[in-house]
Amino acid sequence: MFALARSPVALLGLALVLAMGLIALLAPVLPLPSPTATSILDTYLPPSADHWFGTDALGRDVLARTLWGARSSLAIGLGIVVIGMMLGVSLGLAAAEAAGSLFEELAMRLVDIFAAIPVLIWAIAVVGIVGTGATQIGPVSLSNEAKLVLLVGILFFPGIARITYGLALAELKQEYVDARRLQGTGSAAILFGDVLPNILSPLLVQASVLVGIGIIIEASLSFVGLGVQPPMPSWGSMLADSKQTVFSGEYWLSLFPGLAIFLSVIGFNLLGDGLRDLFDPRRRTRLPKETA
Amino acid sequence: MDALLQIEDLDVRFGTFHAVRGVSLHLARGEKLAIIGESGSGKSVTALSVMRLLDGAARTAGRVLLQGEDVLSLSASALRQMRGRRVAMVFQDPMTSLNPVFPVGRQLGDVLAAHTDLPRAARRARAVELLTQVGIREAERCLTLYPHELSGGMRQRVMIALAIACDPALLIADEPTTALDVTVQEQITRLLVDLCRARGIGLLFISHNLDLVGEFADRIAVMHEGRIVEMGEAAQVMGAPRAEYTRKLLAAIPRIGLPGAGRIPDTPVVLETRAVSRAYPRARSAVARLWDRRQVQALSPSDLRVHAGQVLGIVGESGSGKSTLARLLIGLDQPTSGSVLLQGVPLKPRDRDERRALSRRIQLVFQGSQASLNPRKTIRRALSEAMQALPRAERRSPGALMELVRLDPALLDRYPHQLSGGQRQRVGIARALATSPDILIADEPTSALDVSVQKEIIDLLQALQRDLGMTLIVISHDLGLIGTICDRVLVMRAGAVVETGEARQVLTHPATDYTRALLASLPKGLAGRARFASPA
Repeated sequence: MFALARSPVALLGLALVLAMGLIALLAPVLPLPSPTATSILDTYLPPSADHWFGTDALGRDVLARTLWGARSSLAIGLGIVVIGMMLGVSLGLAAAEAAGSLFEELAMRLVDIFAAIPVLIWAIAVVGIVGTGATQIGPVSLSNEAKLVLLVGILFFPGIARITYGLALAELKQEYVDARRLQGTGSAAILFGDVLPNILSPLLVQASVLVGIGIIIEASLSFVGLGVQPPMPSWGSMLADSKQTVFSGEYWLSLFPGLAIFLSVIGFNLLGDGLRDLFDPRRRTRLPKETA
Repeated sequence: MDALLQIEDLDVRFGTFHAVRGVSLHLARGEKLAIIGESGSGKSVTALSVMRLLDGAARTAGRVLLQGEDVLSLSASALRQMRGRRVAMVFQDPMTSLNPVFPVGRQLGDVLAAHTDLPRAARRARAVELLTQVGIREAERCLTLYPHELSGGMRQRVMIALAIACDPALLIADEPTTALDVTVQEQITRLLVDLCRARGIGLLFISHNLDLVGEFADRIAVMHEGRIVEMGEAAQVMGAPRAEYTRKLLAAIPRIGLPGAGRIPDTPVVLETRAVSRAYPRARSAVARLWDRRQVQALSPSDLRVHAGQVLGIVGESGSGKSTLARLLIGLDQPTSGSVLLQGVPLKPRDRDERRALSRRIQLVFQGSQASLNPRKTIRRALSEAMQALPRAERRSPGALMELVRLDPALLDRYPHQLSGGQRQRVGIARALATSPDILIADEPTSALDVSVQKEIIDLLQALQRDLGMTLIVISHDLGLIGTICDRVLVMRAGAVVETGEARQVLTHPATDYTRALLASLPKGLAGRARFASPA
């Protein structure tokens, strides 16, 4: 990880991501007004020493809401990718191990089917059907946020599964994998113990880019009212609230949550680019190949 | 002297790595100079700096004069003029140095278009002429083929046609035959030498194979750790080497020794195959196989018997089925028909418990390339894992295994990339021996290693086989290796066993034409010069 320091772009990405993470973690303990406390007397105040980012239509502090918004955005963005990685990596590894079998064929065609579903329309449709409140499935109660993570995470798995599958196919042809088989090691131990660590780098690159996309999806769903439910703040719902005031001069209502989305997405993308450069041996200084 | 190429005090560094240290050499018009060295000796870097093909990280000092002009200070456009027109290069792997998405004709046409003013039709005629000159029959048809449709030898011929397309004064060949089979290697070397002689092209031939260059080079330069340790007439370097390192290289060349009389009969058969064969479906996906039932026969039904304590060599060129046979013998793959019997009992490697039991009786040593060890695990971990099939009481310490293969146990906490090729292969052998198997199969155990290291590994395998009383099966394309250590030899070609017998018998009185051809195509050093003498 220290090698990241050599790439200024990656370092910038890492700094943005770390800053967002810190804000999300520390929001409850920072000396901020409550993000949900309304005040009829303080509506539409422009940025000032008291309210650095101004206040909104209900007199709530925009700075507090923006910082608290990082919690839901990052949690949902990361959650989506974690679900997608768990499904995608497992399926990709299993399909590669079963190369040539009917299972491989079925698994990869399932991936094709899921890859054909548009993420936003799928999420809107499902949330539209089951509603935005908590959904009870047997003994488990799923909050709307948890539902979103599962729904969108499922649609994130095809891309990850394809990358994992391709990388694992190549890795499984390495001699050391045969050596493990000859020791009587089982498939799962080889896949997760030997193959996965060797293909993790490109997967992490993909994951960091996907977190950015996950944040945008969360914002989009919250914007249309299907994501994080009021009164909890979310960058997407803050933007939705500011729709009416975009042309009447209260710029701070849309500027700050928009900026927050922009900075966090670009942070994850730059980090992804930086990691890719870092992991790509072709971009490292290379000695000419000698053979003998 | 009419110097075509003159290198003066060339020095190349990559960061802290000093690749070439003050190399000076010259090459006269039409002369054939060979640079010999092992990996890391700086021989390829020297060649690449003549073409200015080193990447930006290289810091170069000294002078490289081509026909009196300093290559290192040429402008970008002058450099483009020089490449191809005055100097051309042939690389080791023709699959990666030809563009896979264009047919051969297009690639030749592009080179001609860049360096000549020939009109389109004339370029095509010239391309056909060039392909004919490099010995390709049906040159017209070859123009329309893509690189993957050609054999390795054909691809290298196309590369040579590309290189000579614009009549260069100097041809640099960097290990041009290393990726090829021995029988093809001889043809390609002959083609290069004949072409250069007929056209008066200077040839700079980079190789690790002293015996090969001894057959045709006028002069030989031996490189070691970035320096030329010896340079002189081929006959002198090969016949009366002055440098210690050259003597070491010459001594390491595996020449076909005459193995002692076979110890074949008395011991029982431990491993045998009965009409074992393997065919692969041509269609890769399970669904496509429903209608495409065509198969590729990798191994025709073959019989083989290995006696306990015997050393059996399996020889063949690429595509001969020798690796397929190895995978069947060890149970990494299932035969399509026939069976493999281990002490009379058929292998059932699919069964998990059986596989574990099998791991204690038969093991495999790989090529010893980087890929043979997991790059993310320390040597200690790799060796400990290898013993997981054993009951705890029978496990040895990783250090003891290291001592078995004469490696310093201090290396245990290193990662594979921190080891040299020879050390890596010793670890590979230690890993295979971790379960104390009765039978060891070595699949091309030296082909990824430097010449001087190859001998050490062969000696080690031989000593271990003797001390531990193992049965050893060595698979190789290298008759020299097989002849040195094996009691019996099995010659394979195109998926079938063509000859089998006692090693001494097969190597001195081969019964088939193919074995004779294999033996004849081995490079023979100075003794082979007659083959390359000028046609009268």
